[in-house]
Amino acid sequence: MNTLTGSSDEALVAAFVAGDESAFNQIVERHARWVYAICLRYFGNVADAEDAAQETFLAVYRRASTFSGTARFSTWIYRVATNACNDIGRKRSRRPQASGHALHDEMIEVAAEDLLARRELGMELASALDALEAEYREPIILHDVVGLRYADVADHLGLPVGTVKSRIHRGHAKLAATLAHLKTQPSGPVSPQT
Amino acid sequence: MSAPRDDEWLSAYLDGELDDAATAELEERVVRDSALAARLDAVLGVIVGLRGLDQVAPPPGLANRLLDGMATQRAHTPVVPLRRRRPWLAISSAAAAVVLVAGIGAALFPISQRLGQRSAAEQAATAQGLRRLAESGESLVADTEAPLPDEAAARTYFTSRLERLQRDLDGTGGSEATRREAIMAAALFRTGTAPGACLDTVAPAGGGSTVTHVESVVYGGRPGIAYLVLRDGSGEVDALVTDPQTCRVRVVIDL
Repeated sequence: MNTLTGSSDEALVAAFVAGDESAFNQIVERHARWVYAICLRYFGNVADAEDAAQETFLAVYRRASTFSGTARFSTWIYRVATNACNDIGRKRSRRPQASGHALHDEMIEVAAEDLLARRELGMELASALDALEAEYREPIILHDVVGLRYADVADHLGLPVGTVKSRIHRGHAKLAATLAHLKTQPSGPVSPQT
Repeated sequence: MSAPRDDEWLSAYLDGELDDAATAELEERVVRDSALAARLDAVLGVIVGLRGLDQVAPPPGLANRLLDGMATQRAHTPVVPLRRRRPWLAISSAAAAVVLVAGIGAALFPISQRLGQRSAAEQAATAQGLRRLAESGESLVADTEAPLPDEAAARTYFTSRLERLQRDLDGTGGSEATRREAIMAAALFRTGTAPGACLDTVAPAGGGSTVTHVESVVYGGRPGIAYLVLRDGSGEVDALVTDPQTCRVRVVIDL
């Protein structure tokens, strides 16, 4: 049995940087699904998602020693994957998925409701989203749940792109703060978000 | 960076929306500030939940395919974790101060360690290519820290290099594989960055491109690694300036 099985991500990275190649295989096996999901979201097709996932792990292989361990490894690799997707998208001049231009407003509303109903948001996240001010909730649903690009969200809401980005990023932080607050309440249910 | 600004920046950072300066600033702070790192993790948790990233079913055999694919790529491109490369890179760095050409004396020492893993024919071909490269007098890797305030300055600078580099492209400089070997073997820049750190980002091995020149630059006031890349199919040359820490491409200039 591999002695690394069950080790933390940080321990695997440390073992790999110290020269243990098998630790890297464990990292790939553990995070392949996560990285693939990030890349699939970006490109919207499985072939590009797998290519980007491979580039991501090549980057992890080269730059594992730069992982500081302060934030979670899953956060670090999210950034590596996002960079890989951006680079591949730029090289191939391939745009990320889901343009809203072909969708009418009514279709977008239906899609948002349908996706929200199907997606298992988790009780805390769903109630935090419900409680969020509309100016943040609407662009977040269109961008994160429906998958529209910033420009398409801006078109749909009649707002400048910069305003949409700002509201989405600020809304994410508000949701995170609400969830953190909920978790500190003694009677509140606690469940991991990742 | 104030707290309200952090709130907006954490999510923007995760999705690659920040510029290089803000990215570097935030990364530096996250390393030092565990509370900020925890908030970053929490924001990612929100994004994961909203986007359903934790609900995606991967195709069967994904991890094995990724590992197999990487093994193939790594067979063509020696990729070694930084900490394992440093001992011999440090030794070779003493022999190369400003222009880090893959000269025989400086480069064959580190290269020889890798050559031991390859066939005799491949070793001979690589050594011959390195020798030709050294004899050509062209600099494959240069540690100039050239100040390039903006894209226009970078375009002018690299365009002026094209004529000289063109001679190297015409056959005196060795094959793509030889060049990759030389770049990966070159000593660290004075900033401590490996010239080959972002090689696979700008020109994946076997991807139909050849890196003709690597140079340390200061682009927009921040250190960067510039790669001149010949696109084999079209014959066009691009200059790409990358962030040495993240390998993010900061600018692409079609020369």
